[in-house]
Amino acid sequence: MAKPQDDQGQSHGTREVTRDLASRIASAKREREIEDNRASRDASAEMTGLGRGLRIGTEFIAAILVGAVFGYLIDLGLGTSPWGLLIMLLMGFAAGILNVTRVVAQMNAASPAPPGSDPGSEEQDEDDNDDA
Amino acid sequence: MEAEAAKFIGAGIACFGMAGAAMGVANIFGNFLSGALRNPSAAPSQFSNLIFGFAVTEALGIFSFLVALILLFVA
Amino acid sequence: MAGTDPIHQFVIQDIAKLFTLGGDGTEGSGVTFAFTNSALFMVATVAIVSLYMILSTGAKSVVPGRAQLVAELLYGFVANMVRSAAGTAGMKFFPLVFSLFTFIFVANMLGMVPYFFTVTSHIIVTFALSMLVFLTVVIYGFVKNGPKFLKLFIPSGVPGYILPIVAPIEFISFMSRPISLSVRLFGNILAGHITLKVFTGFIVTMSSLGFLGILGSALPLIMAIALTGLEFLVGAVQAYVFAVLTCMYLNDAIHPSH
Repeated sequence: MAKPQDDQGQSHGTREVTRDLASRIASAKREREIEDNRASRDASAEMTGLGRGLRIGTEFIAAILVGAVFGYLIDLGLGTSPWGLLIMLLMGFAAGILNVTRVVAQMNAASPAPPGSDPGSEEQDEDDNDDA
Repeated sequence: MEAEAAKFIGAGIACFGMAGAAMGVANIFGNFLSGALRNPSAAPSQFSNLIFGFAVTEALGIFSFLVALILLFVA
Repeated sequence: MAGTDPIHQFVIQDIAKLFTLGGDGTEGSGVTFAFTNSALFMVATVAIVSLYMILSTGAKSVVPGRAQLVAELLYGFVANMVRSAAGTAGMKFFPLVFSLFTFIFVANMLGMVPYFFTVTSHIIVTFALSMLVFLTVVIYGFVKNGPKFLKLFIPSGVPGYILPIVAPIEFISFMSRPISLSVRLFGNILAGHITLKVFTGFIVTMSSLGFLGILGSALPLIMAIALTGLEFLVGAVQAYVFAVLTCMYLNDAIHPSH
């Protein structure tokens, strides 16, 4: 805090210091933002392989089970056995696939492929063909 | 043999069909991964094909699951 | 083998019997309400969370101390999560998401203490939590949007003639959410704890085999140590995933068209 009775030179110096401080704060904020972004991306990418597999598996199975239970209840209520179970199970299967595609798309959006992963040039592709 | 017992045995046998679906799904994802590792830039464009193949293959497994369910709960 | 039974840790024991509903007074008839070890650890979890939050933020100092800093970081973390997933309108559900996150997180961490009971390893607990979220979404969605909430089941840009197929699929997909939400948390915690117990059981059985067994039991010991670290990670990540998915589902209730 600059006191009011400070002379000219002193206030010039403090202004210099505060400008320096402001720029330092700004750069620290920028760094922290980058850090935060990276942290939030890591948090979703950091899900272990087991966690990711379980997530997709449960999304798929849960939809099928819900569909089958609905079908069974419809059959029980309307006496349309076995068509309710048949149709609703297949609907549940479709819903499961929908769930899986949504989850995978969301995971891909959360952790995009690193920019360094170049597809490789034409020559490399030809090399691959030779190898095969 | 009682009809009830035959139903359970039949449901168990029907579930063998899911093993075939498991092999098919493994084949699809394995081949997709090996292809995607060779050419990662083309992998996202084939994602819908991957899901389509997975859905068709898994549907055949679901049919056997369906047969098992019908044997258990409906028949 | 009682010491190495991997399932024994999940047994629910009555601590104090409270009262019995129905039945004819004989032993084992009617529904008995009891204070179980599961309830004890739920109470402990809630007590830890609330006491920590009240005590650490009680001082309200401008420059936070360590405890207050952790509480503020926790607040900021969950608030960021809610804002990014459900928008500013979702902040009215911040207390719900914060309570869910801290409850699951602290319950998972408590479960990692030896001889403690893991609340989230029972599917009925996780299912109750996910039904809480699901019913909140459904009730709030209908109260706020009225019948327009049903637009959730009609994806935009779908021609009318395939709607009879698409709408039930979306409906089943919606109904499967609480199940997948609860099974995921339950499955992760259950599988992790059983694996941990099985590996530590190997140490006991191998070290009873003599000198070579004691040497060999170092392998499962290393594995168990690594698994312990992994379990802490899984417990934290699952609490985070539960909270994030809660925010995303609440987002559907707040903005139903997608």
